[in-house]
Amino acid sequence: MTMQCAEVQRFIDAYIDGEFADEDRAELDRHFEACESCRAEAVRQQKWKSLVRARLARPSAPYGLHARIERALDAETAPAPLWRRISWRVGPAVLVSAALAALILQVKEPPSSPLFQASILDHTRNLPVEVASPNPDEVANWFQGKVDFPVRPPRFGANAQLLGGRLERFGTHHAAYLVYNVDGRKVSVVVFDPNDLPFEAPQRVVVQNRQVYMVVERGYRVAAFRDQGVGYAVTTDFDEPRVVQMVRYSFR
Amino acid sequence: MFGLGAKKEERREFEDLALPHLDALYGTALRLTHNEKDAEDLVQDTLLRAFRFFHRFERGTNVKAWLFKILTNTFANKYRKRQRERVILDEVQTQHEIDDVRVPDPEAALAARLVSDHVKEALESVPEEFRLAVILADLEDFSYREISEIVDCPIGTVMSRIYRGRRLLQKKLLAYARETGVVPEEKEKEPRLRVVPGLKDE
Repeated sequence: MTMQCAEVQRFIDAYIDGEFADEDRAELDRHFEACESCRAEAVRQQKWKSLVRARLARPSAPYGLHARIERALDAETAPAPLWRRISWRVGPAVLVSAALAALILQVKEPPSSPLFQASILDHTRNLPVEVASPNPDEVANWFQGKVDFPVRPPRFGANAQLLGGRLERFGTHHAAYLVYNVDGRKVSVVVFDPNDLPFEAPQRVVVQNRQVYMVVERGYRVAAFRDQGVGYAVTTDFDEPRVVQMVRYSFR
Repeated sequence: MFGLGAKKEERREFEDLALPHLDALYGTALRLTHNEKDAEDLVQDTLLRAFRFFHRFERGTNVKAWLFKILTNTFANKYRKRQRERVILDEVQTQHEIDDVRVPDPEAALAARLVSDHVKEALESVPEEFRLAVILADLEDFSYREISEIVDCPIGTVMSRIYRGRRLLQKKLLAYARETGVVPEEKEKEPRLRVVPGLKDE
């Protein structure tokens, strides 16, 4: 009897895990009917198993792991992203800073918001400004009362000079249009209420943990992002690393 | 080799099959590595390897077991090396510890409201190969046969690892229950409890 109990003890876990075929199970059941000690141990082990299971809720994969894996699979399947190929011509310093600053995400999303087309149209039209000033505060003051959100002209670095702005209409909503001279080239910024104008686009870049949507059309690049609840769409003819650099500067 | 469309199709099929198991893979990775960053790296490495070898996956077979096999192999190759010496030491000690251990009823532990953190910590103290067997059986509901395929060892070994892993875990949990005063010292001295083998030398 003792030998038999020792053997039964060895198989108790497999028994409670339902690993035995009917025949073997029946044999163990017969033993349990006769042997109180082994039966008690089986009950005890079943309780322990339930206790551990109940206490060890499975942790969820952290937010972001899914996207990270998608990116890894992208890298596995797709050719090198465009910005990386461009950077070879731009130089190693830019390559490194762009690589650090931006991670390209391809998100499966519908085509870009009309905001991007409107921004490019604004950028190309060369209409006169209503307030002309290099002073961001002066331009900001001019917009007060004209739009129902604060207009804080972003700063893009020492080579960027604010020229002025005008009131713009997007459908039924007002927005602020600002124009800059950056390295002798025109840069347009539309400041808008993101609740009025959604700005999703298929391509997304993460700059300092913030999402920046990018659209390239007719040779212009529009980068749209949100800062302190206000939306910004920056239109330039610069390449992506340069745009990312400007956006990153404006986040300071 | 593949047209672009075929590659896309393969990627979609892979994601449909593999990504539903992301939480399970991460949970087990976390319990193997004890570290969130390593766990994320391990899951990413696992899924990348799985994708590379996806053409070898036999469609219609158990994809979860296949992914877990890659997870445990990846862990063994990449993350475990630095821990190996410690594990061997643990095993020697373990062999000694679990000789004829019969752990009492968990009702005391239940009453103690052993918190999840205790159980998590206790599980982490169990040597890795025992721990893995317990995780796969108790938390991921794999059968002994599946576990034997995942960790690549005979079913008999799986059985004994689960047996030993659980007893070690129970012993640790009981120690916690005692520390937190759920199994009071004086009560422990009562003959009724002292007859339980394996407790007398605590």
